[in-house]
Amino acid sequence: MFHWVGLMVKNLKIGWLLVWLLVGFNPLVYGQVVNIYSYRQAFLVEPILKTFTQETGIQVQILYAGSGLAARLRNEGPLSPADLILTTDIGQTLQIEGLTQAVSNQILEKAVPAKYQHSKNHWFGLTTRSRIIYYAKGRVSPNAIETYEQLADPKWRGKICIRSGKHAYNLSLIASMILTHGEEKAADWLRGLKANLARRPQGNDRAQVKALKEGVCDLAIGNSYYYGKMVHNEKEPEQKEWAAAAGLIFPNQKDRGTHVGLTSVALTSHAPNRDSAIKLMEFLVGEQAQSLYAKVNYESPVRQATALSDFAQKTFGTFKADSLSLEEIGKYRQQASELVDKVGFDQ
Amino acid sequence: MNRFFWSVLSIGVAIIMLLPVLSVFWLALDFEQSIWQHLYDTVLGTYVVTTAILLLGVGCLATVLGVVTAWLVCSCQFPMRGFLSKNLLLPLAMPSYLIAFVYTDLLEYAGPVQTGLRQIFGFESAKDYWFFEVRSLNMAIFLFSMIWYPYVYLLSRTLFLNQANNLLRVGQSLGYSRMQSFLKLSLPLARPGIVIGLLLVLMEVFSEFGAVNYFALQTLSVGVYDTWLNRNSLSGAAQISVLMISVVGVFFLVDYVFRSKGRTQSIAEHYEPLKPIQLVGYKSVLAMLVCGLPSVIGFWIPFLTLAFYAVNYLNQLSVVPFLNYALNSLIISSCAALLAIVAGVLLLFPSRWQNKAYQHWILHCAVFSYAVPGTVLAIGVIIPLTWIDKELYFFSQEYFGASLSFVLSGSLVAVIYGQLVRFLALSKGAIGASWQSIGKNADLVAYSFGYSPGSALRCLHLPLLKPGVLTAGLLVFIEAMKELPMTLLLRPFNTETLTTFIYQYASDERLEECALAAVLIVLISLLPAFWLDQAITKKL
Repeated sequence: MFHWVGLMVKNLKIGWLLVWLLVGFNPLVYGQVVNIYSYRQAFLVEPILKTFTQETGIQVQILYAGSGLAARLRNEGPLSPADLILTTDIGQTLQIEGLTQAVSNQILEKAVPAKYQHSKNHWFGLTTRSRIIYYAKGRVSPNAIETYEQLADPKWRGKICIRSGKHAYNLSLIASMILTHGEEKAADWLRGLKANLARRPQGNDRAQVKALKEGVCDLAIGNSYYYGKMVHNEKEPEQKEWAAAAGLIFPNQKDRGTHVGLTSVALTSHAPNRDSAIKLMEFLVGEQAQSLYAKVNYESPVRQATALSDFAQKTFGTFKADSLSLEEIGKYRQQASELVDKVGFDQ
Repeated sequence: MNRFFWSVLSIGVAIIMLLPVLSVFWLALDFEQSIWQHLYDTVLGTYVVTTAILLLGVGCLATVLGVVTAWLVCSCQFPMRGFLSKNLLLPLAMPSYLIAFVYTDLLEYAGPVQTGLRQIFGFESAKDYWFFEVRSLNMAIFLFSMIWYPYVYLLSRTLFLNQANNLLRVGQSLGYSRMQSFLKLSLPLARPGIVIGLLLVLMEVFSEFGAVNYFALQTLSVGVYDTWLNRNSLSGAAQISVLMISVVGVFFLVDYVFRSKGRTQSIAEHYEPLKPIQLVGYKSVLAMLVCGLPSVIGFWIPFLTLAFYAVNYLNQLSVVPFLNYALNSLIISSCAALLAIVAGVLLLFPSRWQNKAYQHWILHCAVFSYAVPGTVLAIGVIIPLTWIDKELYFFSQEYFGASLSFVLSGSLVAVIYGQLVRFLALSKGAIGASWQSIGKNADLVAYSFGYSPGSALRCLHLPLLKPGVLTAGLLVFIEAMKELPMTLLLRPFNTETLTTFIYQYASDERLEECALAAVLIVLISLLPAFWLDQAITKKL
C-alpha cells in the first residue's frame, strides 16, 4: 500500500490515468431520456416515473438534493443536462425563476387550476398538501378551533406544538397570513402563537403529532399527508397509535379556505430533451399519475375530479382550499422569514 | 527537479485547492446592506452566541477527552488497553447527523429509555417526571464531543508515542513526579498535534449543519442556509461563510503566533519506547472507564441501535442495490484519500526549506474550506468546474466540431475534487504534525550527500512520514465515506452513494429504512479505523 503512495507522488502518469477513468465514468443511457433535478426525495416519485417509462419507453434519470439545485442549474447554464425540475414548495419554485421556459400546452393548462400554475406558464403545480391543525382526541373537542387566527388566542397558552418557523411549510403559511391580513396583524398573530407554544419549535411535522399523544400539547400544526402515512404505517405500528390519538381540523372552511402548499414541475430554459420532457409533464398531470400521488403519498391532486381512495375521500377528499394564488403567496415568503426572526419565534 | 520546481508545484496545488474558497469569496462580493441590517437587528446575536458556546463546549470537552485518553493509553498499562486504544478511534466512523437522529430516537418520550423509566417508576405522562430535553444545545455539545474527540486523540497519541523515554528521565532528574513530567514536558511537546486536532474539531463545529438543524439550534451554519434559501441571497450566505472562515483564520493566526515562540522539534538521539506505568486497583478501573465510555457513547450505542433496526428490516429490503451504493462510496472515498495524500505532501514539502511567512500562509489558507458549510462549498466547487467545462465545450466545438459536454462537473471528478478540497485540512494536519517531528537537520544531511529535493522526498522523508501519510489517507477516507452535502449536490445522475441514500430516508424521519446503509458505512470505515491505529503505533 505504501509503495503506491510513493508511486503516486513520483509518477503523475497514474494520476492522469485516474482522471481519465473518472471522466469517462459517465454512465451512458441509450435511447430517449428525461433528466430531472428534484427537490423531492427520489423514492416518492419513483413509482410514478416507472409507470411512465413502462408506457412510453422513455427513461427517466432523477437527481435528488435537498438544496442547491437552483445554483447548480444557474452555473451550468446552457450546457445543463437537466430537463425538468421538481419542487416541493413554492419557495423552491421561486428560486428557479429565470431558469425555466414557458410551456404552452393545452393539456397542462386545462388540468391545473389557475391558482396552482404560474401566470406565464413557467411552472405547473402537481399536488397540494394542506397545513392543518391536529387536535388531541379526548382532550379537545373538534369544534374548539376553526381558524388559523384563533391559534393566537390566549386560551391555548402552552398547548400548541409546531416545527421551526423557518421551515418552508410554515413560511408559506405565514406568508399567506401576511397576504391576507397585512404585516402588522400577521406579526401580532405570530407573537400570539409563539406565546402559546408548549415547547421550543423542534422536530418535524410527525414529531408534533407524536407530542399530542405524549400529552405535551393539545394542538399540533402539520401537513395532512402525514396522517395518511401514519395510519398506514405497517413497518412502525406505533405510528398508528399516534394517528389514532389525533383528529384533523381543516381551518378556515367558513372563510377563505385552508392553506395549501404546492409541489410543482418546471421545464428548464435549455432542456436538451424538450419533447420527452413535455410528455412527462403531461403524464404527471394525467389521471394515472395524479391518482397515484393520492394513493402513494396521500397528497391532494391538483387535477379536478381525480379518483381518490376511500380513505383519502374520507379524510381530505372534500375541503375548501385557500383561493389565494400560490404565486402571490410566494411573493411574501421573504417577509415571512424576516418576521420569524423579528418575533424570535424559534428561540 | 530543484527547489524552485517543487515550490511552484506546491503553489499550483494550493491554488487548485483554493479555487472553491475563492469562489465563495467572489460570491460574497455583492454586499446587500438590507440583509445584514436585518440579521444584525434580529438573529445575528443568537447565531454568534450559540456558535460560540458550541465551539467552547465541544472544544474543551473534546480536547480534554482526547488528551487524557491518549496519554492513558500511551503511558499506562491497564487491562484491555490494546482493545480500548483501538476502540477509541471508532466514533470517527459515525456521521454527526446519524448520531443526532439515533439519540433522539432513544432518549425521547416515546423511546426505550423514557418508556422504561415510566414503566419502572409508574409514571403516566410527561408531566409526572423531569427528563432533560434531548434536542438541546447541551446534548449537541455532548454528542459532538463524543464523535470528534478522536481527532485530538489521534494526533496527540501520535506525538506522545514519538516522545522518548529519555524525556521521562530528564523529568526524573529534575525531580518531577510522573504527573509533573506530563504537564511540563510531554504536553508542551505534544502541543502541535493537540492544537491541530482542536482546530479540526472547531472547523467541524462550524460547518456542521445536519444535526444542529435537527436539534433546531440557531448557529451560524443554520444562518447560512436560512439567508440563502429563505432570504434568497446566496451572496449573504457566502458572506456569513467568509465570516466563519475569518474566525478560523484568527484561530490559526493565534496558534501560529504562539508556536513561533518556541521550537517543538524532538532532538533526542535515540528513541526508547516509554515504559508504561502499571495501574492497579481502582485506578485501573477508572482508566478503563475513561477509555471505554467515549467509544461506547460515540460509537457502540448508535451502531448497535442502527444494526438492530437494519436486522429488523432485512427481510423487507433487497441487499443488491446497497452493494452498488457501497461501491460508489468506496470509489469516491478512495480516490479522495489518495489524492489528499499527494496534495498534502506536495503542499507541505517546500516548507522544509522556506522560512518566509507569506509562503506558509498561501498553504495554510488552502485548508480553510473545512470550515465552510458543505452545500456552500459545493457551489464554490461548481463555479470553477462549470467555467472550465464551458470553455472546453466551446473550444472543442470550434476546433473539433464535436461537443465535449460536462467533462468535469457532470462526472465523479466534481465530487472527488469537492471531497479533496474539503478534507485537505485533515491530510495537511496529519502529515504536517508528523513532518514537524522530523528535525530539519536530517534534510541538511541528505543535501550534503548530494540528494536532490525529489530524491530526499522519496528516500528520506516519505519512509519517515509513513505514519503521518497513512493517518492522513485513512482519516480522509473515513470522512469522505460519511460526507453528505457535497456528495448530494455535486454528483452526476445515477450515482447513489450510501450517504445520499440515507439522507433521502433520514430526512423523512424513516431511520429504520436506511439503517442498513448506515451500518454499511460504519462497517466499511471500521477497517481503515483499525489500520489507522496500526499506523500510529507503527505496526504497519
